[in-house]
Amino acid sequence: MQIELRRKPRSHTATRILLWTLVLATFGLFYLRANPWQIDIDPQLSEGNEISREAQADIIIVIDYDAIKHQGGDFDRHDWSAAWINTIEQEVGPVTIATPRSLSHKVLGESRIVILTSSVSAQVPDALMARLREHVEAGNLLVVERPGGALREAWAADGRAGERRGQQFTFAKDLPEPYQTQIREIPLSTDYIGSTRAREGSITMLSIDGAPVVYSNRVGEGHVITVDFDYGEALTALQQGKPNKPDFQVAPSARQPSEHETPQPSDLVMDKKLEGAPVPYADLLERYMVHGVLLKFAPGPTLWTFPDAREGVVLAIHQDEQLGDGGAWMLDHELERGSVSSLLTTTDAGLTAAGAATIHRKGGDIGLLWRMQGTPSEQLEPMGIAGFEPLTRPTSLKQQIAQLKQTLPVSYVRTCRIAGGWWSTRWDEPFRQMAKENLRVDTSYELPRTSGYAFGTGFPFLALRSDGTPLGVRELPVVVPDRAVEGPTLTELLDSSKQGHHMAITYAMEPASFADYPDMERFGAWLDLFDELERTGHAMTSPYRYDNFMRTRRASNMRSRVIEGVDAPKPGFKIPTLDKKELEEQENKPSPEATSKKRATLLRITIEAKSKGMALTVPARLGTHTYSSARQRSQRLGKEGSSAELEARHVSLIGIDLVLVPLERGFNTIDIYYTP
Amino acid sequence: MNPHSNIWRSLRWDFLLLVLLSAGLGIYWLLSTPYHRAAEEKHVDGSRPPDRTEGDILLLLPDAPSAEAKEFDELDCTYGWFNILWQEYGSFASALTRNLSPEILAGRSVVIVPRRVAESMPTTGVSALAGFVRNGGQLVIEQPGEGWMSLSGVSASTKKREAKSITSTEGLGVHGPTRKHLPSVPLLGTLQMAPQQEMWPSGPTLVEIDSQPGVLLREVGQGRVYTFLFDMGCTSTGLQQGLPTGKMRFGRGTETLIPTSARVADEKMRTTRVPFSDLLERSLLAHFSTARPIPKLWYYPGTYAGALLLSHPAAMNTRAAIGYADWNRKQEGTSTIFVAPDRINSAQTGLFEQAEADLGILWVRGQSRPPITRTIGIGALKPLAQELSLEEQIGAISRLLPAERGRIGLVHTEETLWGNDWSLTFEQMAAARIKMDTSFGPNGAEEFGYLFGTGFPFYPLDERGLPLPLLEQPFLLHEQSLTRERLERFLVNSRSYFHQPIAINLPAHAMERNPSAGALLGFRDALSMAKEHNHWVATQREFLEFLYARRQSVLTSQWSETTRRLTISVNLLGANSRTLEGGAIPGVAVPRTWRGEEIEKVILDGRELSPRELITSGPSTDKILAIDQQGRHTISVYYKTPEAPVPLE
Repeated sequence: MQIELRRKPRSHTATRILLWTLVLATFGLFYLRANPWQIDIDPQLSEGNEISREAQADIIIVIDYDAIKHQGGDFDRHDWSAAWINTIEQEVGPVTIATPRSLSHKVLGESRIVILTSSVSAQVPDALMARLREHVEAGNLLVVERPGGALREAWAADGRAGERRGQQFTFAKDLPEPYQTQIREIPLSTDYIGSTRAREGSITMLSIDGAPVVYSNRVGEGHVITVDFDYGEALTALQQGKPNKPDFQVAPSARQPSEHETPQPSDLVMDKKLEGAPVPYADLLERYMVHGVLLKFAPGPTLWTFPDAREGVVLAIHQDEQLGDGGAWMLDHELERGSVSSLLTTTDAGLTAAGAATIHRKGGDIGLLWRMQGTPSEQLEPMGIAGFEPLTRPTSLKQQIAQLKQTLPVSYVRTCRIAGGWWSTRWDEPFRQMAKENLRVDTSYELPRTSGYAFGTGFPFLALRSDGTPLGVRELPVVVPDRAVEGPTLTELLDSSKQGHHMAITYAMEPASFADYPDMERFGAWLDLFDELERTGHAMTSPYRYDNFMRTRRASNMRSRVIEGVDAPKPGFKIPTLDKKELEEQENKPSPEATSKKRATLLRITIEAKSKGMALTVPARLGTHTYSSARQRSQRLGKEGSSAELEARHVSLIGIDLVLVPLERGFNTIDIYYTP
Repeated sequence: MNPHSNIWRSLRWDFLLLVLLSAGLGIYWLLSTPYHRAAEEKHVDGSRPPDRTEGDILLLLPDAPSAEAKEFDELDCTYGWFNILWQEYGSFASALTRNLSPEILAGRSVVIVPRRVAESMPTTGVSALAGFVRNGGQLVIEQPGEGWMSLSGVSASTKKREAKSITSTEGLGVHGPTRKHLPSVPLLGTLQMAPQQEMWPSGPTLVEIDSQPGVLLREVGQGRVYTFLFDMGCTSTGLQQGLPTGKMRFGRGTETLIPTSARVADEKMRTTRVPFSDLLERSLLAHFSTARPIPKLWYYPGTYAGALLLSHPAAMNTRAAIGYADWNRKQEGTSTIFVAPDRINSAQTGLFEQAEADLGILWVRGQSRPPITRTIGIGALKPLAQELSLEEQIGAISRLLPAERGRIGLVHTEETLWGNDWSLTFEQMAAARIKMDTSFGPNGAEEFGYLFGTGFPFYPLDERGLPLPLLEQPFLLHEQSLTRERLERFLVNSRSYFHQPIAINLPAHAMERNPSAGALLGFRDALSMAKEHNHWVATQREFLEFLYARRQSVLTSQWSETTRRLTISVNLLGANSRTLEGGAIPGVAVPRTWRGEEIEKVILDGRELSPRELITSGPSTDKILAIDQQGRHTISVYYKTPEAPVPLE
């Protein structure tokens, strides 16, 4: 009996354990159902895109991607030669991009400007050196960035003072005020190569800390321009921002609430003084390099950066996480005022297929407001079997795009923005994810509540991978965020754009913000914006449409050549769009009879404009000659070579006088006459 | 020994613990999802308002209320006339039929005998009225029986048919928009059949309905008898309060709560810019002034052409409502916020004070948002959730308000939801001492305008035809139908023809649920447009108090045809208004002409006024005089004497 009594508890202990295990398991399952366990996923990343293009263009950029990749190191030591692509595409349009392997004599021979980026200029083969010399002596322009070896010996200063860290630009030749002052204010992240003395006969165009960093030398009929500072780094740091930790890591700044460990785009801003900056410093530098330096020595045309020859554009975006179809309410009024915008919506905002179709039919476009994994705004999806879902995982970008596509009447999503204003701890990871999913434009770069060019630009710029390779996505920084309380006003930015900066200004407004609090003054300001656009000659369009315009612009073909000593054309009718300055100059000119017998310089441009609404710019002066007229060569008037005078107008781009000539879609041959 | 019994015995404490755990979970579940009990609403019946003895116009009322109507046809619409006269004249007298006597008729210009009164009028009453007419009075008889034939001259049969629409207004002599739109007015109730007769002035027919005589006029002695063969009282009542489809219910569904727009009498009224009810009333009543000029208290303070009333129901988002109110204050205007009792705290009441907004209650019915409940139980155990009645919801808000603000008397129902019956919701509101409801109006993007035939408030009637002691103020535009262009058109029409209060209902959640630039643009410019079009910007409470003051004011007049002088005695009362410094005092309106002759001069309290001090009404029918002092005034209006015809030689 006693033995039985001892055995009983032992046998029931197992039952007891089983019972309570079952109870605990049941509780555990219920707990997991209420609080699912989150698992992570690996993001899909792009490896970058080694852009190489053979275009009918005056300019060729030579870039060595292998050298870029092998450079390694932190941000300051990296090779950012690919930044030249953005500069030329943004400021000129069509450009040939070659690698040392793909660079042929034919391609070289057809170009008027050759840019050897720092990735190739350190060491140039002798054969190429000879070919370049021959090309320059024939009257063309060679640009060499931080040259080494034979290139430095042939055309650059000695470079014996070695590399130094640049503090500020101190001089820019022929750049008028206020742009001269503005260029001195540009925050710099760059090294420059100091020399013990300037090269004999060189003309200094740009200086850093008093040392010439961009200078030209005449070689035969042509010129060589040496860029002796890390132009790529300076530009990339301004536009794409800099990682604030080693190994391209980004840490959230102290000003954010401590509970968020996720960085924001504001953590990428290169310099504090860029916050609220009224000047697009990166664009100022790019424009000076192109219009103030390159095209000064090799005068040529560029395609105007805005459709319909406007003074600039405002790119409107509306992000929505709650209104669904109602998120497009601002679009209706914008359409009434001849404008259009992009709606960036999350997949769970409530947008229906019918709503999306209506937006699309009206002309608006829809992009993704991306709930990026690893941020407080991430979107989680449950995982499990037969309704029991104890796990969750973040919805990937690919899945979110697929979900959005199911709602859209089109099969593509091209624009996006990260919800919540977050970024990643990896400097380039969001861009790599976007590039992997073939997104074209991102608008995540923004300083909350602060307007201005915090990223030095208002234009979409080519995002680069941390190894320096371009990614297929462009970043369009928001210049005027929703409910901005600091920085320049939109009116001030529009005025500054009209006066000379000629900018794309991205304007964000959240449609749902009026749901929470109907701020009628802000609503009134939005209504007034359309009058301001008219007053300042700007158009409002969507990032998607503008990106399409820029893509078409890049895909156009444009070649030019300068012919000296041609007969000036017989004076035609007065060009009606000449501005006051031109009129004053005309008054001081001799009579048409006197000028008609003068010899002129001709800039002949052959161009294929791939969309309507394009325009080209040409310099207002060629040496001692000034712009006289623009004529479209045509056979339609009956005979080969007859021409019709085109309406043109003067524009000032960062104080540099240009002439803006509207184009017809298709092939155009345009003669620009310059007379003494 | 049974091994199972051993297990039970050994694990009995484990099982007991499990049972206790389960019980604990059960209690937790009960506490987290308490049983819901619906609110119990009290209700009151309608009652006869106190009689007024002074006024040019006398409305005769039945001596006893009728039985409860089971169908609309059975409804006693006598108090539909009460609404008509209250809206159009402001000051009028009323008396029970049994009190009818030559003394009570003395000095009256017009006596109205509604259908039910006409049916039960004793012969002595008919005789007294005949004497009144012969001495120059004007009598209106609605659907008279055989006993009235000697006075009306109409051999109306007892045969009736459904009235549909007006087919001719030739005899009425109306022009412009009135003539254009009268044939579109949907008529309700019955049409009494009568022999075809010539149009006025060749014959007695003023208006034809369905190609039959509808309104007849007969001159008797020095006076006139108007015979309304259609049911004017019920037409007005049905257009304003809604037309039930059967058993005093609306629509064919069985829902207990329906949007108020489901009560609309005619489909075309869902998108109409014409206040059909007011148009019909004004065009017929204006004919009284062809016999002698009949003055009235103007619809608005001073010479305002209309009124604009903005309201913002806030079912959930009180912050947005503060935003709307604040913008109105910045525009030197004002508005009413209808707030849900569980969505406001004392700090927010302070913000509404700062925004100078009036507060009303949003009656939460628990349909589009969670109901408001209080949990009932002992200690922490509260397994019952009792829904708050309207009275309790008002109490919840009142506790947050300073005592001097008084009891909340304005209501708007959640999503304009209404009981699917004739008057129960009104009766519940009346029981909660509500003074004005603003829930009647359009619902959905396709509806806007005068769905209830008027922009004016009206007293709702119960099933016995007795008025309830609150006003219904219909609104014309709401979140989905408000645009700047549409509002401007309403304001222009109001200034030019209709003189209406234009109420806009823009919920606080408008920009969340149906966001549109048009609504926000319309709202932004509403106050400036109202001022531009001479409309008084007021809150519902201010308008209500003004209407009370107008009703309490007294206006009587005497007409001397020989001197062509209209002498008006008026005792004016006013109400407080944030936007009017001297208070809201009704103006006095007189016909612009009499028999084609303009006003020659006007003397106010012995002081001759410049003719320019009188403002012409939109349709040029009236001249309006603003009087900036409350109290007694005497106004003498002289009409020009026609030039004598030049004798032929």
